[in-house]
Amino acid sequence: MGDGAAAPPILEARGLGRTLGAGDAATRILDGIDLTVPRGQFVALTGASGSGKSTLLYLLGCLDRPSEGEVIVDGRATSRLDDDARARLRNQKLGFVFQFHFLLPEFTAEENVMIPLLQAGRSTEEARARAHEVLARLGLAEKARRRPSQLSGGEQQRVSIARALSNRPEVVLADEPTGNLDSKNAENVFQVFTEIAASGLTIVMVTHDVGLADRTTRRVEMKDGRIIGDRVH
Amino acid sequence: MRTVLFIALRHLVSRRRQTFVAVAGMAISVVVLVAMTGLMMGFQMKFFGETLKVSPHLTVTDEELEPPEPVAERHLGARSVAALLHQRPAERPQRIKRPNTVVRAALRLPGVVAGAQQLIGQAILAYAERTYPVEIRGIEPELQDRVTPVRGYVTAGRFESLTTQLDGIMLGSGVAQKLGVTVGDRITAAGPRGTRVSLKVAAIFEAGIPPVDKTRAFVQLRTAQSILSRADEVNSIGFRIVDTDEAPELARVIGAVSGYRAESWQEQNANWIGLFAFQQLITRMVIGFLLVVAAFGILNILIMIVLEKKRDIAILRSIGLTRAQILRVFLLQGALMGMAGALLGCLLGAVVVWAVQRIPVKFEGLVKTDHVVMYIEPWFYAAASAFAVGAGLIASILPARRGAATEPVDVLRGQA
Repeated sequence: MGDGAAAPPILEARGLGRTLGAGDAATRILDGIDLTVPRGQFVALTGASGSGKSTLLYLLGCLDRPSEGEVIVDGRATSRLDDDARARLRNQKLGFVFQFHFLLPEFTAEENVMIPLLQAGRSTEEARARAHEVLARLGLAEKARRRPSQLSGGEQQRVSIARALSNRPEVVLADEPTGNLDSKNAENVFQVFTEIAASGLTIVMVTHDVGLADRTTRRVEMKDGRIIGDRVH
Repeated sequence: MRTVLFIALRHLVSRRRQTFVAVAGMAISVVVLVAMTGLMMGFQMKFFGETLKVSPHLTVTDEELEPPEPVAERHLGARSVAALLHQRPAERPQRIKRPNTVVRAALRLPGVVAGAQQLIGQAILAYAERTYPVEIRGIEPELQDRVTPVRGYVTAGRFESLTTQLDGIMLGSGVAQKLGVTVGDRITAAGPRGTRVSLKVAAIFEAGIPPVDKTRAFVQLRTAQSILSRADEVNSIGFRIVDTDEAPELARVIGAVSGYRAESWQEQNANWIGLFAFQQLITRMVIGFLLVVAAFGILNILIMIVLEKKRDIAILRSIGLTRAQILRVFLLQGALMGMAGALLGCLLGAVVVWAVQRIPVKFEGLVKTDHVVMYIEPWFYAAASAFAVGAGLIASILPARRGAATEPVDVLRGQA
């Protein structure tokens, strides 16, 4: 289904399938997905609820293992990697943004952004400096010391974007990042993604919002666990 | 490890109240462990310390290991038609034959430093209208002082007077009190065969062990032999040794050499040692239960954190933390709570020990003391701390494994 992009792919799905449960209770969530995402592309995954968008995103992000097929991240096949190697891969190559910001409530905004950096082995000073840099880029420098509960919904989501970007990932995977925001905040957050994409970062974003999807560089439409449309804008 | 520590500490600090309750539970266990061990050890050390000062480390008794064959049996023989069914006990009390040889032989053994012969028997002391039964011990004062240094316990009169006066008697403080006598008074001692000897109170001692102070009186060996009507007889030889732990082995050797039953101080105090061991077992069980309860406090809070933090665990996994790191986050929390409990418990324990030792409690039972006796060694604190950290760690295993097993996708899909 890939559209022959010139750039070498950062993400690839080959014959990807995912079945949940076993025997009579088995449910086929994804079936025969082939997808190639070149570097720098802003891809929107769209489709109705239950179409398999989020499952595909989790598989591409090495959070889940496929029932069959292969996910290749930056040229590296991931199906045979052990849990630790997949965790390292997520830390080094991928950044995640979820519908509900999912910030750690005990930590300040700055500390939330620092955790992937500390995990990557950066010193506390380096991690703090980088966290400030990313938060400032997203207009949150003043609120770095606040806890998530002291931030608005839009601010919380921007902090979670900052966390995803902090370790300079190759790809940001976003699962309906605007789904829980009002239209104004949703637009602001989408603008952030647009700017990130413009800087050359690859983004794969699950969204229900067709309007937003049409403003990305590529829209992949799914239905019943299959890709039914793939359009580059 | 830095990320793990960062997260673990923040989890604990963000739940200050619950963490404090769990830590306090552990601290109380540590305090009880230290204080109870100190009390138990203090009492035991006091008891055995005092006992070993007034009792020999090992004693050769007058019981022969291979008693001679009864005369009647010796004459009847195997082919006789008559049989000896029951022999009436000999009227003559038992004694140790050739006691000087036994002492000399024992003193040649390595580790045996002093030996002294005694004749021990029962006598009635009388002063004015008052009479009182005592265990009278005939001793060679200077030699005896090397085996059981009673000289240091003399509270009135002089120990040396016992050496120089053949009619001198040294009474336990309880005996003197019962008779109402003081140093210089003359009393009468009556033996089991009716011999009456006039004695002068030369000294009064107080060993601090009421059963000894209330029953014992010392006279010269020859005087005791007169009172008990047992001329030139000895029925006990006491020995002092260098290492008290070697007493059972030396007792076995001396017994074999002398032909008489030799008892170590451990054997003589076997009832007390057994009682103390049982007491220790009970105390350890109580402390063990306390630790288990404290560990449940930690288990409880960690299970709560794991259940509440499933979403956070999923996020941490998504940003690259491994299962092992998640496991360590919770194990570390258990260990940290154990450590905090140990630290707080050791500090409180030191205060409790300091305070309890100063409580003026007059106690007169097995030992006599005017304050609570405690014996504390640094390793009590170290052991209590190790138990606390261990209990914290063990309590965190289950929640940690549960946390580490969390599948991020299940949480993100809303299925966990």
